[in-house]
Amino acid sequence: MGSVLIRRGAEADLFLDEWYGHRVIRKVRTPRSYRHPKLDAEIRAARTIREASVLVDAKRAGVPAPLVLFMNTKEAELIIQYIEGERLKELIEDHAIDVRREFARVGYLVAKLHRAGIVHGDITTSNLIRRKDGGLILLDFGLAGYSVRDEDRAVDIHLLKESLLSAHPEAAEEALDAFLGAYSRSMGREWGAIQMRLKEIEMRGRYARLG
Amino acid sequence: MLILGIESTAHTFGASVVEISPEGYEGRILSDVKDVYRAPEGYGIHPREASRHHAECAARVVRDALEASHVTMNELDAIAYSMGPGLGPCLRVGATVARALAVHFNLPLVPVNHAIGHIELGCLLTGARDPIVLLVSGGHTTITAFAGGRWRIFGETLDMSIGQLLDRFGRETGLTVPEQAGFGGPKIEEYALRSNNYIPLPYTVKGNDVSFSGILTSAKRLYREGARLEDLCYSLQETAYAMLAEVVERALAFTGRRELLLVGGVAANKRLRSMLDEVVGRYNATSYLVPVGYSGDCGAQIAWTGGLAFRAGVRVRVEASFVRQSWRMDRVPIPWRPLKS
Repeated sequence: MGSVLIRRGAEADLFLDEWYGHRVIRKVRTPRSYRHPKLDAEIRAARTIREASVLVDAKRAGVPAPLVLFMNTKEAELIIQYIEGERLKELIEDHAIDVRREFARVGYLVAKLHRAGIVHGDITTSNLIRRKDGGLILLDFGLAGYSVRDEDRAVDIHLLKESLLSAHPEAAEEALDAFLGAYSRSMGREWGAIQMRLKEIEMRGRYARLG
Repeated sequence: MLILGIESTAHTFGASVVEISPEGYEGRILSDVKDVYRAPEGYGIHPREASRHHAECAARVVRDALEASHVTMNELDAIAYSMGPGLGPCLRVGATVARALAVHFNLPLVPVNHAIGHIELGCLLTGARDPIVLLVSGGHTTITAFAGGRWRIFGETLDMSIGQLLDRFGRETGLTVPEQAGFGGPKIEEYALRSNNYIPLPYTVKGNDVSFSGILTSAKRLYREGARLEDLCYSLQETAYAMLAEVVERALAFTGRRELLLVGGVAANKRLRSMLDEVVGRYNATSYLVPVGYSGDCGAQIAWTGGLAFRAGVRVRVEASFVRQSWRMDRVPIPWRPLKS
């Protein structure tokens, strides 16, 4: 099996590949000709390192995420474990899951991530995988970073909310209710401030996705 | 239909007569006259002084715009004015002039959002129909696209605009041009051409937003420490523009749009223009760059957008024609979009 390009994103190209007998995702932050070469190399390397670092710390905190297998900062390349399963996106569309139960699990998962001092930056139903054994895995930490700010945590929740409302309008209410219930319970005393920030963000009326 | 547009949000007082076809996105700029306030060397715009300038030149500018267009007040269908956003004293001059003309000649008054003016004029002049818009000026730095009835903000600056970054750095280093209202952009662009030595400056993109205060602080400090000004100008442009280019890339990727429109005063910058030309290549998209002569503030942006609004039934009673110093573009309903094929 050779290298297969599966996605050309705004920041990186994703390849399905084989690596010492493992099925992997090879993520390459490709150079941009319009950036000065020094700036370009610095940005790509720094972000590669940050993504690897965040993935490792997330796993250490007990958040289900793919393993980082290899990193090449010069080429801004990451070799990440390939996760076999189905995206929540399709599972919701096919009515193949108990939305309430799964999103409660997502709520606990995101709370665990936030309590570990990490924010994901792009939580969508395309980035949540359900394995055959029922395990839930969070993917794509390309926009993730270290933060304990209420604002950044609220943005995480807001992005998930937006993605649910636009991609799964009928299931959104139930999913969000379950998510927020579990998340708020998990975050305990910290939830109040995050909730306030969430309301502010909503009032601002910004669209993260204009699709 | 014939529309007189009056622009007075900041340093520029402009008047323009535009002809808009009764249907469809078609129009012609019949005249566009302006007079720009000159700040004293080393100073930025002073709202009261600028408003004084506008009050002094208003009558002449409007008269010249009418003469150049060969249109008389009685032939006009409406008067459009920049209701905001902008500097209060400056806005009030334009609004006063517009109200006076509307009352005296019994013409409808149409309020226009200045930022949307840039966008719609850009679309008219370039042919872009449904673009990702990068609006870069002293007053704005936003990445916008039309969705759900409004021009939505995909990303924006978290602190100062790119124009303010250029002006402030220009002022600190003596690179402003009084004849060009104290702008830093043109001289910074000139100096940048004399270097390709990149000095690392803070590169700050947070999600879909950008922040320039790090670059400004760093560049000012490096200047005081003796870094070569040409190198700093070069590095400042490369860093700040690359940040904007990155958010533009994200917008193109996420929304799937295939058009990129560049508007606003800073759209005149050649480096930014060439950079965005390169960005779109990766997405099989087309870049539409507003003609340099219409990138800055002008009456035409108000007249054209006023025409679109007027055709769609937008009016304001003189008694209610206040100005709005803050007026986010995503608060403005846009009844003339989406454009019919």
